[in-house]
Amino acid sequence: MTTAPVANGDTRRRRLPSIAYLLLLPGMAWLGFFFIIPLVTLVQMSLQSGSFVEGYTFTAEFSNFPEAIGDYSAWFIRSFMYSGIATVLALIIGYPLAYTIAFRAGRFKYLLVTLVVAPFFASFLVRTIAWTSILSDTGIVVSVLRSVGILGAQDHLLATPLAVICGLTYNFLPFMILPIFLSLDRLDISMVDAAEDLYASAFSAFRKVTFPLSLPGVVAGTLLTFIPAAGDFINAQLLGNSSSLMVGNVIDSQFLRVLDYPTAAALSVTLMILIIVPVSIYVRKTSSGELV
Amino acid sequence: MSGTLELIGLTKRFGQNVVVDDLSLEIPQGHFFALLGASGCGKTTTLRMLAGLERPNSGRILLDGDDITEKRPFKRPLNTVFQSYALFPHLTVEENVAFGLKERRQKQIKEKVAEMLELVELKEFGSRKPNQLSGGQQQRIALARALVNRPQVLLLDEPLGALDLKLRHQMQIELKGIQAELDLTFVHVTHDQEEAMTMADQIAVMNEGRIVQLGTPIELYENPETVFVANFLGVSNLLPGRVVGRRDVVVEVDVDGQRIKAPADRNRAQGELAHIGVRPEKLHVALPDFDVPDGHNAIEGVIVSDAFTGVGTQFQIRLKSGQEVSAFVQNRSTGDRQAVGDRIQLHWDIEHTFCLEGREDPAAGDEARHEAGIPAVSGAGA
Ligand SMILES: Nc1ncnc2c1ncn2[C@@H]1O[C@H](COP(=O)(O)OP(=O)(O)O)[C@@H](O)[C@H]1O
Ligand SMILES: [Mg+2]
Repeated sequence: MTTAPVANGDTRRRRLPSIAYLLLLPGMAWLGFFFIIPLVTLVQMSLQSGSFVEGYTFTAEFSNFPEAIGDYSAWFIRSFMYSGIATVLALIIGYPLAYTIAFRAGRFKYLLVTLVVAPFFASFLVRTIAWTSILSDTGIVVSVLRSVGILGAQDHLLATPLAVICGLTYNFLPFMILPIFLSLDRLDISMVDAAEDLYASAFSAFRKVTFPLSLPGVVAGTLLTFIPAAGDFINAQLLGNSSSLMVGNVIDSQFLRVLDYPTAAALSVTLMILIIVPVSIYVRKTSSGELV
Repeated sequence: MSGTLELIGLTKRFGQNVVVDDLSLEIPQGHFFALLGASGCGKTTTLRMLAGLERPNSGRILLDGDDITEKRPFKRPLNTVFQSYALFPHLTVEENVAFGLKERRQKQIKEKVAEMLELVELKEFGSRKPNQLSGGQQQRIALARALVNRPQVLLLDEPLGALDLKLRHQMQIELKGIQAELDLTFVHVTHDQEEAMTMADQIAVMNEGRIVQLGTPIELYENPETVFVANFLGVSNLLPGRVVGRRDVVVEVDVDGQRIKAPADRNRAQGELAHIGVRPEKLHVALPDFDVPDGHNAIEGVIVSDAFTGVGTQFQIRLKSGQEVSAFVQNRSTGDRQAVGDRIQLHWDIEHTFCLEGREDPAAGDEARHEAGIPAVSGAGA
């Protein structure tokens, strides 16, 4: 009697993996085609030597890396600083917004979520160009700030690092808001009731219950903001000046204007590693037991 | 030790919907008090107002004479066991139980938590997360997390609703034991009439935001004041009739030409129309020529079904009017048993008769009982 179901379970367990692999096949093929192959090509390219005119050949030229990093370390530092600040700003703006939408918006909740993603209906480029006119010297922001004396007559907003950071924050804010909103919206509100019933003040209930339970959303939001912001070049190009360029701009010009493919590829690979390492430490730290 | 709760004219509206309607109650210290009603009748809302999680539109809540109506929840010496437990999933069992103590900056938190986990027999599970526990274990943790704060009143919102039947019976006994041991006031919300009857000292039956009857389980069962209560708590046979005589001690009701008497103090019929009520296990099934004893009511009928359950037999009997009643006869007679098709005579003590208002719907409360999962035929005898 007892052996039959076990045997039954065994055959089912044996058959399952092959089906699972079969189902994974399209995804694997997609990944292989659009991720692995380009990645291998990129790494291979980063180890080439030669010139555009004579052609590049693979020579395992590892010195491309120290050269590229040495030449462009300032751009790397700037990239991480700008995108780091933009991420923090997006979190500071995005969390209260997500909280309000999730808990205080009542029947307007999903309308507001739609409004959060509404900017995506316009292209990234168009949205950023719009900011050039918002921040221009003749725009309303500058004239208001000048009239109240925060900005002097010689000060600008456009073509400054501040403008780049504002652009990054604005462009990636929805990526911060949406995951935080989702984790707050999913949160069982009786948790907060229970905390208050157990003598927690509203602030304490937020700090000890609501916020920790929304951490998965915060982690996802910061990653989705930081990673694309660190590699972005549109904002720096349109809103910045020549001394506020980011590493994305360098890669862009090395690939498309200087046509130094190995240096461009080495910079890309370096940027990728520089993002992956801290991000995986961050994910590991925040997901080890502290998260649900 | 104190913990007397007084609810005075509590009213709560959600928009146009009056969920708790001018509700007044006194819950004495140390009582196991059950708030019983079908789902949606406003039990949770009442409990949430006591906990301070919902603000009443009007009315007051007094704890030992102090008005706590406007106090924030974290200022009230009451704790709640929530319907779905609401354990914090990101904290361990120990941290969950310690939560209230930490918020109040108590001393010897470790010792108190350990002691409480011992009381609910989950000492070894302190370092686990709630989702690594079974439903019954989570229920105990929710209880421990509330009790560790030594509240003056413990509020329980359907605490056993998610457990299977066997575990529920076991937890009923344990909860009752803990309540007696700690001598705390328990306000226990449930839609399960059997649970309320086995556990509570006092039951308030709620319907549509109001208390319809308040009393001990025995009072409510033996002397229901409305059709709703008669049907909701256990099974009642209700026979429609007309009041034909009111005397000092009895009322007489005509049920299809038969004179049925009920004690005057158990009469709730205001006008002419009445429902005569009697519980199935109070009925005696006798031969048609049986000499009915003095002080008994009698009525004739035919047995249409019988179900032998060991301890007794559940009969369905059709009366002359065509109405069917159920009778539960204990298995202690000798000689012949009545069988399907037999003409018989039902008789019962006048003292076991109650007389309810005839304008009430005779099915009131049936639905509520069905919701609680208790079928109409079992109940009373079992
Ligand atoms: N926050 C709320 N907003 C609107 N209606 C509510 C709210 N809470 C409860 N209700 C309504 O109040 C009624 C009673 O609910 P509740 O007190 O939870 O009943 P019970 O606990 O007896 O099942 C229900 O009809 C429910 O829909
Ligand atoms: Mg409820």
